[in-house]
Amino acid sequence: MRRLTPTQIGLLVAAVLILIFAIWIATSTRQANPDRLPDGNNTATRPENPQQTCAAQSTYDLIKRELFRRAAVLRGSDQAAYDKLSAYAVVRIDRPLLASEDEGTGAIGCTGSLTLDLPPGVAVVGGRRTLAADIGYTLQGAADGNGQVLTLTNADAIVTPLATLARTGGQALDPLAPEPQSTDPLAPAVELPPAPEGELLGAPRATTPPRAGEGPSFDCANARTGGERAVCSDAGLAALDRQMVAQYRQAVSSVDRRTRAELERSRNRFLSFRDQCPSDDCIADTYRGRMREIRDIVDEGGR
Amino acid sequence: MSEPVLQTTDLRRSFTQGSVTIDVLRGVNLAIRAGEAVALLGPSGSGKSTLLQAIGLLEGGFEGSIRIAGKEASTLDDNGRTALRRDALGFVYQFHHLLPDFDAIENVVLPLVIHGTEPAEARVRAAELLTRLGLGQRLDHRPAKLSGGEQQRVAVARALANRPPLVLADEPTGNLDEHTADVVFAEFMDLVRSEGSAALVATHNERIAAKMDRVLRLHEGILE
Repeated sequence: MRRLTPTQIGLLVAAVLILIFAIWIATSTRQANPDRLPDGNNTATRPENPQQTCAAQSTYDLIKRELFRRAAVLRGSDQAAYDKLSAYAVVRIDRPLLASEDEGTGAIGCTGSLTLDLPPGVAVVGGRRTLAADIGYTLQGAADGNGQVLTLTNADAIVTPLATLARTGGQALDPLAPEPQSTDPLAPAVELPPAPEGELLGAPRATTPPRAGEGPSFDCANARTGGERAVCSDAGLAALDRQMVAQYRQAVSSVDRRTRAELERSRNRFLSFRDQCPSDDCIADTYRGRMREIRDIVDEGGR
Repeated sequence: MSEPVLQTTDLRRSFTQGSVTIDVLRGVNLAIRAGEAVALLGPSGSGKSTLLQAIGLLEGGFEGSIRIAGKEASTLDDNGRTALRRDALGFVYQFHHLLPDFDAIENVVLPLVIHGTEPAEARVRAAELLTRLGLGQRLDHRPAKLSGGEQQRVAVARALANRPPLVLADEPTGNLDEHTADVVFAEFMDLVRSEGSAALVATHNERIAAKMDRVLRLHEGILE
């Protein structure tokens, strides 16, 4: 039998490596169904305790997408805008409980109190940016074994108002359409509300650093996030920060415990939004939205 | 003669549990003209609610044809059914199903805005409807702050807000005391007629049925 030359062996090894690489590429870039949980949550690999699936972040993300999908269908337009906004919204579920489990089909039924927080710059009827409902949700492995299928019940209290989603602009709600020029719903394409008279909110923001004594509410020596550094670098943003914090402190000191808890909880979301902002305009809008939110929460608590 | 606002042909619905199959609707044929008010009478279990669920496009699993406002609904997909429901139907249930976190006027504004009405215009229309129903002083009250009759009036205003060609009502006053039920039903019918909508009202109350243009009786899944 003829012996292979070193060159032939090298070519053979290279061919095998290319084949292995091609198989890896083909399997790793397989398009996932966006309406299904990642493979890690397939029935076969689902956590042994279904309660964990009820409370999994991947489940919450699936629920969020379904809420926005249904709202867009009900509205009959703006599916693309809803898809984009879905990525910026936050879903949380208090007391996610396993309600049923079907051994035969592997389906699990869960219940929980869902809260959907919308990003700054958009709101539903009444200017609300937080929607809540006690919902039921069922997860069942897809027939083809790829991901899970979600069924929502009692979600109308969220889907119906969500179908009225609009950019905030003054007192009125403007329709979402036409599409924003930017693909980022938090970017300046979002219409900013008019500034209350006598406040700095609407004034063109200075791009100069704050002067001594005109910094934000926090110590800029400890600024860590992009949002904090931006606020420390801009006099207008620093003023917005001081104004928002003054409003927040006044609100926290004057409301009942439940409302205070809501103010504190929503604060973390605001900070998260602010620190994801790609521009100073976005940060300014986020501060304005936060001030409206504080006002809404206080008003809500007073009813 | 114009096409009926609702027409069902040989509408059937069965439920299977284990080895038992129950035929709830056994070939229902009905037609309702534009602006006509029709009562659907029948005892509990006769299939009234199932028929309204079918016509309201709220559930699948039906056989036969349902034409609403000139559109064949039985061949539509989920999105198409949602659109037809939004554009052509209004609903009043026995229980109001108002959104508890939204006040009275907002509950009526919601379907208007979803339907494409400008928010400011929607508020005017909602306030007008609620005022006509005697709730002019309750616009900013949440459902929990309203009486049962007031809640049902808001539900009526919500159902009629978009002037749908057809309003479906399932025991719309069944949750109210007799006096309040009479008053609210009379207001409901006044609004239906003044807005030019047709109505199909499921009830087991002969007195209410007598106030309609026509009475259909459903018995064991068949119209008599």
